[in-house]
Amino acid sequence: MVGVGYRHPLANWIFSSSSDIDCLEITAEHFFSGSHETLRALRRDFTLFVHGLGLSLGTPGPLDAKRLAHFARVVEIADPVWISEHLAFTRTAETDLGHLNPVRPNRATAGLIADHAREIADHCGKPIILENITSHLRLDGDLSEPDFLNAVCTRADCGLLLDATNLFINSRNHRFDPLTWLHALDPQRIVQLHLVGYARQGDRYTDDHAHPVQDELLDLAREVIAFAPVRAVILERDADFPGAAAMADELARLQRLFPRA
Amino acid sequence: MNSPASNASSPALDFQTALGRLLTDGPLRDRFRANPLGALHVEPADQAALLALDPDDLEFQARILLRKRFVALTPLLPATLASLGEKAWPLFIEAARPQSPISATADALLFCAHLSQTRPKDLNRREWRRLEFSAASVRLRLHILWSSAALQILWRHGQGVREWLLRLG
Repeated sequence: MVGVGYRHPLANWIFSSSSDIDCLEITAEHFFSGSHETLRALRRDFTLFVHGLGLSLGTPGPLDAKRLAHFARVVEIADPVWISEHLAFTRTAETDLGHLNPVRPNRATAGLIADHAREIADHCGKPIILENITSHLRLDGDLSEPDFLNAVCTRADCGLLLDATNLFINSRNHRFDPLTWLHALDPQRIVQLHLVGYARQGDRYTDDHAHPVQDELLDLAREVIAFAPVRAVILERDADFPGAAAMADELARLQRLFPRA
Repeated sequence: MNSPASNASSPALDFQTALGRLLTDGPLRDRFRANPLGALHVEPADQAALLALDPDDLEFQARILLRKRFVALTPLLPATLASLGEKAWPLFIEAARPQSPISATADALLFCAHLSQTRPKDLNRREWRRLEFSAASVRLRLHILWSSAALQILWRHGQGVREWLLRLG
């Protein structure tokens, strides 16, 4: 399946292109304060996945009960095939940082995230998959990042949402080979792909979700699809939204990469 | 040189709490760059991980978080941001880098206060007053907007805020 991340500015194009879009990924937080009728309409027309941003699985201690309840309500309405969150923390005991930050790749953190992932999946009654993030920090740990992802997925018995753009960006900023990284993963865990164009700021690569997917990213996605039984590819975009024709063209590029069943 | 012992009166932080502070407190990052273990009192087991943080990477990651906070101002201060154009982002960094995030409204008010000191002509006072009123608990407030020669009336009803602008003269 090939689809897009649902964003309100793309709504007209999405609703008028339902025959060309296999699936949609809903960002749970965008529906925490309402728009449930839109969600029900999306559920009628599309296969859905629900993606969370702020459950902060990497924070020690209990999950935020209020956020989890909001998330579960969105899941209940959307009835997705699976749900997803990030291998990250967005809050500490003191502060809500408002964005995804890296966790130390060690066994203790793998256990913490896996336990939180299981709790979310159990609470929502849906399978969960977890996504790798971009980070400009490299944190010390006793596991490599692929071994850490494998350990979390094994302990939680969950899948991996491989963000190929995040992998590419990290590989450029931290100077490692993305294919070596990829081939250290357990391929059977890779369920879904994210793709969006990267940006540059000086000598750094960044993830601003505002550019079309570049050719190097398509090449990497092709490698992932050859390596793992990927079930869905989601095209993301959160800023500088192009017109309907450009979105359709970009989706078609992904569909050629990942032929429809 | 400072040492962790100099902070012995405060409890030792775990690594993630220390990282959270570093990512949300610009002056702390400056102190960390100068003297990592003097800036934060972390648990002994976490000192090596803290020392392994690259200050430039830390600053870049912190700017990513600041940028998220900046983008959240767009619906709150559209006129002010439009007036500032590309100057808005560096001005927001000046204002928000020393401040931990609380909410988008708090950031917007912080930014307005900063502009009132540094670039008062670019601050849309009508927007600022409306935002202040939204964050307060009073029912009615009147402001004279000298730059537009108008009386701004703000009134809270139920969950919302109504606004009228009466031209003076």
